[in-house]
Amino acid sequence: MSIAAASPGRRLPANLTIGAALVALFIVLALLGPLIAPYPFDQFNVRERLSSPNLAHWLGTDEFGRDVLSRILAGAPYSLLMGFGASAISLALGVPLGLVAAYYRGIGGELIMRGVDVMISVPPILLGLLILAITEPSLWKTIIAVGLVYVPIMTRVTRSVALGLLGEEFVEAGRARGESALYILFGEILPNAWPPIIVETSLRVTFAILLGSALSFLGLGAQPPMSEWGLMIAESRPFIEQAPWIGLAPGIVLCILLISVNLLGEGLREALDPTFSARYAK
Amino acid sequence: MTNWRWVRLAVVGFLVGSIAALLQPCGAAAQGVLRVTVGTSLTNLDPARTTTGEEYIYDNLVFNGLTRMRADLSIEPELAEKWEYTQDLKSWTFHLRHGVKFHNGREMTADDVIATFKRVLDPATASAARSNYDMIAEMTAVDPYTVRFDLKYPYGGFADILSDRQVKIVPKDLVGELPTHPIGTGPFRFKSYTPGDRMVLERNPDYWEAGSPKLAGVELRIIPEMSARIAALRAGDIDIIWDLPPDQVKPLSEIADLRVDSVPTPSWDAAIMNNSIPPFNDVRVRRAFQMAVDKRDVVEIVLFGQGAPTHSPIPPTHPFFNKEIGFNKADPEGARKLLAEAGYANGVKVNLIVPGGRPVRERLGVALQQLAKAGGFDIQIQTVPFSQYDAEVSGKAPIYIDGYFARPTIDTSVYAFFHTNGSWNVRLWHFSDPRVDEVLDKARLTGNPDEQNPLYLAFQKYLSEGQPGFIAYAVNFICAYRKSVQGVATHPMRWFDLRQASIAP
Amino acid sequence: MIAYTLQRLCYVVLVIWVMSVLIFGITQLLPGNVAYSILGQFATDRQIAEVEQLLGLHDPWYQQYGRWLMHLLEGDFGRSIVMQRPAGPLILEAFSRSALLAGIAITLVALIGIWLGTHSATHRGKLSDRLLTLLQYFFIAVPEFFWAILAIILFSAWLGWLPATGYAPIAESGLWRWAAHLLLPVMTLVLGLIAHVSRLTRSSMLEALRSTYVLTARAKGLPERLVLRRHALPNALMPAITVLAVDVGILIGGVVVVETVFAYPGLGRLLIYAIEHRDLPLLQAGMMVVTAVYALANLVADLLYAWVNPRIRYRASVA
Repeated sequence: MSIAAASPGRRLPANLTIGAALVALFIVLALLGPLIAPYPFDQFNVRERLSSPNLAHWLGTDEFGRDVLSRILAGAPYSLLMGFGASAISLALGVPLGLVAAYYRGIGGELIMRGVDVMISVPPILLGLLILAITEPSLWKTIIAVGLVYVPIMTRVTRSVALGLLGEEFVEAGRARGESALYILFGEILPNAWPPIIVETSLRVTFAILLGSALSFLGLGAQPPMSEWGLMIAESRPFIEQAPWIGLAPGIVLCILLISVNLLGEGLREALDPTFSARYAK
Repeated sequence: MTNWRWVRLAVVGFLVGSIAALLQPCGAAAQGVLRVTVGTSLTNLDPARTTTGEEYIYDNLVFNGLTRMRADLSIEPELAEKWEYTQDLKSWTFHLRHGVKFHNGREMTADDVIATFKRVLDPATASAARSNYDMIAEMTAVDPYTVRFDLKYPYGGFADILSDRQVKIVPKDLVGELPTHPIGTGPFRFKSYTPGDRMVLERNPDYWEAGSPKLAGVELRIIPEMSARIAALRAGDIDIIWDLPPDQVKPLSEIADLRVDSVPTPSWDAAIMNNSIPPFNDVRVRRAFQMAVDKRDVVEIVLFGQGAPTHSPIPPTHPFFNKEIGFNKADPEGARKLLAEAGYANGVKVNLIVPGGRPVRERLGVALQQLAKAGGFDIQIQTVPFSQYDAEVSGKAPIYIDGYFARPTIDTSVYAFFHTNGSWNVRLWHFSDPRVDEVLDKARLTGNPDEQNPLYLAFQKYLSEGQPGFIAYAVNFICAYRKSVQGVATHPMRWFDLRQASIAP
Repeated sequence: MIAYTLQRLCYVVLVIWVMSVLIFGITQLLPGNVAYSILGQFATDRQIAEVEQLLGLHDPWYQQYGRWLMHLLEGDFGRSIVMQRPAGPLILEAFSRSALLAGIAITLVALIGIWLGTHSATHRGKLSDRLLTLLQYFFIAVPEFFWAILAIILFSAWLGWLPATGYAPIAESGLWRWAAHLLLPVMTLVLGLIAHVSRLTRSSMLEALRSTYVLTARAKGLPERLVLRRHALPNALMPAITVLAVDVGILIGGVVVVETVFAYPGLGRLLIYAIEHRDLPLLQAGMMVVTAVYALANLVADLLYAWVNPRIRYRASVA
């Protein structure tokens, strides 16, 4: 697994720069949301309910008269939290598991991998439904559930990467020096294993946002009056004909976020693992 | 290459042709079958155990009661041709019609009536209406067509409550079959039921009222998504939408071949507060909530104007409605002061449970959360499926949104809910006020509206002081019809009287 | 091949068993009183106790699990609490409707996706190829439920062409109406997956076209069409088959959302309904069916792939 060093003069892939810029923009909007939003996200204004986009409300209003633009801004943190938070959980649990499974090849490792194989055999949404079915839904629980759902994949990827690295010289050297297993795993292997793990994580962010907003759409995620985008789309359904923008606006913004994250992921893949890109980019 | 090109052209041509054919407007329903759409599956086919609006529709189509309630909420005879009662209102004798046949051909007699009521009164049946009839001390079949009810105490409205949904007359010998093959005496016979899909009822050719029903059958179609129901109505796949949400009144009224009907009803929604646990065990906290929220705002926000604010299950349209009490404007400072007096200087933080799958009530929850904020209430909304309410929420949670259908009489609408011994009271607010008990008990003992009026006026006044919960409004009942449907009025009790209904070609 | 098949079969059984433990374990933690759900609000305490006794709700959990598993294996899927009837027929009927939807969708995905991928691979650089790439890219980034909403807005609300509900029984509405109701849900499902399949077909097709045996075939003078069909396509198809297998999983997820939005009475919607109403038996049985179907679909895909690609078989039997 080669690590593509960004040598001076070598341009970063366009995907990466555009993707990173867009994602950064979303993060900024999420942080500044409450400050720049024209109205509070939960403020009723019944006289102006269901009004189409106009000067006072750039994206119109919903059935309570709440400003759609302000709600979208207020909802940005949730989607970002969903994507990055859930991926962070998968990372935090999956990477150590994968490293351990790679290092301890015996019964322990086999058990972990069998478990992983079984869990991967389950469609993610079902796993998510199962976990959320047993508890009162809330955004935090959804983030945790989505994070858990993707742990097996992170484990598997980490393990394959680590297996590849275990034969390297620096590992032998470490063992000869008498270093502990923990140090070898986290001190030697992990630093060299980052690139494909990062690439995989960026893929996970996209799927986490997709799965999280789908679960919110189904009523198993964020709760009213939070303006999470999937929930906004679900709430817009009775008014689809009178006021389609209530559902269109958050949907389009969600798509843009997904495309941005996707671009970032592809850019990272190109930058960090050129062989990967050569095989699949075309 | 040539071969492939022709094949491709043929395939494309076929696809285009099919799509064009698909876009043709649909055909009309089988002649004379009225298709009504509802949102949830029916769980109980046994009238004694029915509890939902959808089930009540079915009750009124497949069964009859001793009396029937008209659209103006007055009573007329149904299976009982006439009845008498003693001066003391404790003994009532009903004379049954002769020759009324159940759908299996057997004639209905006094034994069936008695068996029906015995079932409802039996705790093992777990009927929601049991406590409404606990005044019945004894029932006697004087002869095969005469039933006498002896009551424990005088009850003026006894004939009225016999028109209710749970006491439809069922055959005494087929009680076990009711959940799967219900047999009644109503204008329509049960044919089949697929949960999640539809219930099919067919015309009862031996129905005892001549010239009725005119329809060949009725289908109750279950379509959970409102947008799908509306689309079906517009496409002509459905003839009636039952219980249209208020936000759809305007857009549907503008469509040429549809008619939208909105009638005031006594059905009410409320934020039920548990009077026995904090924070709402303190009447000042309950009053503070009332002060913080203007009910007229709530009606506008939640119902789009399709309803009216009220103080109790007695609706504004009723002659007994207490016009003196009035509705307060939102007074957040006053609310905060009252909370501080009650010991909540920093406001009250509480979870409001909202029924998942009931959009209007969910909206009520969101509205109250926002409106009560300024008054010092920090509310978190928690959505719980309404089917879990019995187990987890009713009578247990500190505050939750729920609503109740109209009952046939004022007494049945309020007694069980607000009397200390009321059977619904312990499942709702655990409210107790001896003055309320007194007036409610007195009102039962007279059949004379002039005597009842001042008692119920006082009742509403006491309620507005004790505030067991935040009773938001009396909600209109709205249905949408295709204009081809005739002979159906929108009934404030939320069922359909389809005896004279027909579909114009 | 036999050895490999048996090995995979054992694995499938293991997966299903583990899932059964998981499904049962997780759902038994559901709060809420099952007995109340059955009997309703007005049941007496004695009745509640009786029903709990009857359902064995106080037995240790492994006993309850064992009973449940035995029933399942005998074909008794339990009784839906909310609908008051056996869960088995409900689930099977819903499943047949979902299978119809999924079957049509995946056939279309396979046909159109492969054709699209091949076409864009063989017409590289031209406008259609670039357009395709762009479209494919957008399709991947749009969530299934948003596609559904967009489809409803466009075809049902604005154009009024197609019905927004998902199901009209063929018996009463005739072939055309039935198909019209299916069009939007199928289209939504297909759109989500086509990008995936066509993209992969395209890249593996490109690789195949560059491979030595294709060059040889061309050098031999074979017409391009035959080169494509006899040499490039079969090799390009192998990754496509594996992707289709993965797509079954995505399809199941998509089916749940699509059925909810379009009110299509399939297994996905039944599961959501069971969760909403905390109908435990229905939920447990329904999840088991979906898991089993998914595991079997993967099995079929694995076997197909092994049959097409002998290397896999031999490696497995040697290991």
